[in-house]
Amino acid sequence: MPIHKRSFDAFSNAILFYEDFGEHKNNWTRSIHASLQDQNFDEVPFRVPQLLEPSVLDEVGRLNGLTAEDIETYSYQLKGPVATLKWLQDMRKWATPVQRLNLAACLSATCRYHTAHNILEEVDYKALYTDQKVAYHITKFIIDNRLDRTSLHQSDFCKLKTIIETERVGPDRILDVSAQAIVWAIKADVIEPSLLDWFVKAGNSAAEKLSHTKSGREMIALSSFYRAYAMLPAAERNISDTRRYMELAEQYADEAGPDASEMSLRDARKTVLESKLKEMLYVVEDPEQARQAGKELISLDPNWSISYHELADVEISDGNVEEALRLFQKALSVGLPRLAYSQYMIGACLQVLGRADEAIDAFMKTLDMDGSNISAGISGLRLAESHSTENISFFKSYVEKWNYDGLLSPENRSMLG
Amino acid sequence: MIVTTPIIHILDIDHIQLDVANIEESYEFYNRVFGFEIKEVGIRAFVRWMIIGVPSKLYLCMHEFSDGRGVENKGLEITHFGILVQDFDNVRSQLHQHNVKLFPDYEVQYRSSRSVYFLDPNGYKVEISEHVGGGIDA
Repeated sequence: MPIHKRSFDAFSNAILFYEDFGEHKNNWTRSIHASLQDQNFDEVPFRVPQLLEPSVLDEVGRLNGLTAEDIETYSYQLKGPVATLKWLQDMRKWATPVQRLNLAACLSATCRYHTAHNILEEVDYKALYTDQKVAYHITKFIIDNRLDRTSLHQSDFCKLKTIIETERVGPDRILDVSAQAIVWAIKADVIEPSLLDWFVKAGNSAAEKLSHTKSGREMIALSSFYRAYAMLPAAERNISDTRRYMELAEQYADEAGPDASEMSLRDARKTVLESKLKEMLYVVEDPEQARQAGKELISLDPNWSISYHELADVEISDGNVEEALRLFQKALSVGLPRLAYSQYMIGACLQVLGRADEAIDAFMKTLDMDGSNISAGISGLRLAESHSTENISFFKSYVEKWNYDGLLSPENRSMLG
Repeated sequence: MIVTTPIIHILDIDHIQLDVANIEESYEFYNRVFGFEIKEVGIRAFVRWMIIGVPSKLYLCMHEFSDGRGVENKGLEITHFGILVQDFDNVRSQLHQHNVKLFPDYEVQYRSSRSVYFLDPNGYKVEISEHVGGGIDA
């Protein structure tokens, strides 16, 4: 049992123990705890906060003397909420289908995607009610997505279409499903165009039905749908239509009432701002408005490293590398997640600013955090060759190992010359 | 004309809901003494629950509240529930073999039936009656 007490770090405590305790608490850590504290595993949908990449377990492991597998398999001393979850996992032979379904959703919230996948496979699908079937396919889609099984998405969305066509599904759930279909059709081209069209129509029809709703939960569903829907004109650089739908997304997120959970309200407002930042940066190409959205994001949740990354991207696009460096340093100081990325980008900014020795030091620190960061290894090696020959062997040892393990892409090799 | 609303016809008792201090402890007790088996488990808002049962006879739904152990109930409460067993004559010695203390520590003789009482691990009083309804309908 490598650790027996809470970490100093709130993000680690959320992953390891489902607790909201420690330094740099943020909306995500709060939501991880609240998702388990406030929700009943007999009901769907089980609301989870932003689902992060599987490598988060490696990051948390490194900080706490564990491996990702230790975390996935709970090979550390358990107490509090996580012990209750582990109990359900161990006793799942007697758990009802909806309890298993929600257990899988809850585990995916802390990136235990492999375990979540295995548990979901044990769910007796035929025993699920309609709304539970919808939750099943959404949960399966999310887990497959994070495990890079994106080729399976089309099949799940086809099944969701059939359920919506043949059974009674509430308009708010149709909006949730349609939003996911649009996002992943645009982001990863994993939904066929005819199916995307069907969800766009289904989503619009559901949105019309709810257009005068006073329900906070339904308003959040509307916000989520319009945020996704705005991606369609955005992909064609149609500025006015993108803004029109983004305004609806903003309006519903702002006006959503207190009958929605605090977690849903926070997430809705935050995701709208994240989309607005991207809209202003890539569609409107207005860095000042993107910057404002980024600053608002940070003020909403000042200990969330990813928001600093997003604002730093705006600064880089606008040529303000000094400011981007400051933001990546701030991201590093608030910690997980994506700590190694913060450290690597500090190196990248320092390199652009011509501060070679500091950049080399930053790349070395990146590799100490994450020995698989190929970008840091290659950038560090090239910089060391021209500025600091005594550090060449440090970077070379990594690069040679990656080469031996077949991890270098042709692009990586060409960068090495 | 007087219109009377029809009564609701009860078929049988369905289940008894218990708050317990430790779900494993309670399951172990009812399983060891009466052969209750786990039927379903789950969680809601951090609270563990378990349904145990002797099929078609009796189900106990248990929710775990560890802070409740030993806390006195100051309001109204159900003070005990009663069960029937196959072999009442031997039940005292069987309870003794399971180290279950009677409460009170003697067999109670009612008008048309006998009863023994014991406390479960949470302090709930359970009555074992010789006859249905204490033989009251006989």
